[in-house]
Amino acid sequence: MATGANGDREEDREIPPHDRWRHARAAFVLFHFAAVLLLSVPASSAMRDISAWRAPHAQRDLAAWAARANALGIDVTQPEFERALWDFAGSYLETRAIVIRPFALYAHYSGALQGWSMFASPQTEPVWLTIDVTDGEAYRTVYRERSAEHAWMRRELDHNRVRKLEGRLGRGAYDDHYRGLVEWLAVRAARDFPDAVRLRARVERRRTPEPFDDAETDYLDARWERELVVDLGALR
Amino acid sequence: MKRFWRFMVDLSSRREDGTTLAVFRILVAAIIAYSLVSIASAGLVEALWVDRAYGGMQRLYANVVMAALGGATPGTVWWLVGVAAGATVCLGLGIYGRVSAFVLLQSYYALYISNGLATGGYDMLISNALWLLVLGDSTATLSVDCRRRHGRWSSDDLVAAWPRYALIWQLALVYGFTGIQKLGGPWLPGNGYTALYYVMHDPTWMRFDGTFVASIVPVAQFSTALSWHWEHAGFLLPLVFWFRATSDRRGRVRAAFNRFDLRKPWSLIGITMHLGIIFMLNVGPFSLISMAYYVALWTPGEVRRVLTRS
Repeated sequence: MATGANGDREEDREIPPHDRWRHARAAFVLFHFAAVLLLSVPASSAMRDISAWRAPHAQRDLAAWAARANALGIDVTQPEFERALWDFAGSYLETRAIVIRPFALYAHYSGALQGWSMFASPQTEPVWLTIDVTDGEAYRTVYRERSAEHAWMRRELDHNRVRKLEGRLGRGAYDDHYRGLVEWLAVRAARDFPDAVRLRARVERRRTPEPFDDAETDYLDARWERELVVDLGALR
Repeated sequence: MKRFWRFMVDLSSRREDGTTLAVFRILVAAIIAYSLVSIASAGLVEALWVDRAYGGMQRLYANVVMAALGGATPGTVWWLVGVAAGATVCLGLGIYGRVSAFVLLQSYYALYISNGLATGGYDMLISNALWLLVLGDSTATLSVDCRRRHGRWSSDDLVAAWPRYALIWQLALVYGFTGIQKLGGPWLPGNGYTALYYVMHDPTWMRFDGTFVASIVPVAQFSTALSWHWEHAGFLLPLVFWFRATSDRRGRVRAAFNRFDLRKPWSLIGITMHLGIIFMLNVGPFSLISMAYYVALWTPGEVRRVLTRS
């Protein structure tokens, strides 16, 4: 035994040349390190998801990259740039899929999953989920994201795991998941609001003001999207 | 090639006392406990993890464990939550470490992987941590197992060092690859480093009304620039450790790296950033599990000294 500089004891590191266990362990450790590395190499289904490419923040990013290419002397329009990037994304994902195949199975069964795209492209036009109910006349708002006034089901809907779905509503499709959320809420609304006959879910999209814009410090260009109405009578 | 292989055999054969891994185990168990309690206390266990056919919110995926247990029904899900809770307590206390970690990994993984829309990077970091706690001996010290073996709570029994190296490797890649994927305009220097300004305006993440950020734009810009460059620097972590381990060799770059203990500023920036995230944004246990990995940056001797001092 030897004692390291930090007070850590370390065993003698001589390796018997035919110690199969040590070689097998080294092979596994190398495999694990390689798996973590290769599976971390970025890939996302959004890279070939046309609705994600069409999202406003993505279009804005693409326009900015095309402009940068132009500034570098590369004569390319935004549609041409987008087309080239789309094709590259396709072949990149195909190649990556082949390379990672042996490692993906290991990660799938061991839980050593990788994929670290976090806040990669911030929303510049976020959405606010809003839930209204009606007794047959006017709608009244019972829930709105981050509102202390309209706080029905807030404990559930403000949880970070549900917020993820709410955030994705502003980034493209997820129609089936949105319907799942709204129908789940409708069952609870049928119980919590005995007089209500319908529940309406929709999201309000608003543009974040530009930084350093002293004239506009509040959200802009509000518009409603993704309206879904559920008949509550059928759920009682 | 022969030299590289010898390096790998050497690296995977090293042993050290188990203090760092034990502290990491306790932190991971505490964070999983928080994760499970937060879901249960919000009344979301069935909403998130039970299939829509049985009253849940979404159509769910059943992995091999979930499928073997009969799918995402309320009975199966509550049973898995109960098993995960029990295994979390056992792991935290250090009772049958590898078995507890394995049972917890399988139960927690079966739950979170079932609903891809209600999971995030933190769950992957947790399951990666659990897998390394299955492979490593995390109950050699600071555990009930240790108490049973030696009649005391701590011991200097040696354990494999490579799981700690794998934690460092994981940490480096998480930050490095997170950094290089931040190609959205607001992250880039040319666009004024305004990403966090936009993130703090997004109701998905915000804890407070985001409009106040308009009055502190330079702070948001500085934070964006710092976190963006710091995340890229994650790729350098393995190099920092390599140069520290080979400090007796020559080289200007090595000497420059070894002039300071770069782990300290890197960790300080990381912890400051994560505390800022916890205060400003609601991203679940992401910051907590990320910071738990930082323990692996320190040798068992260093961790022991901190524990002794406190």
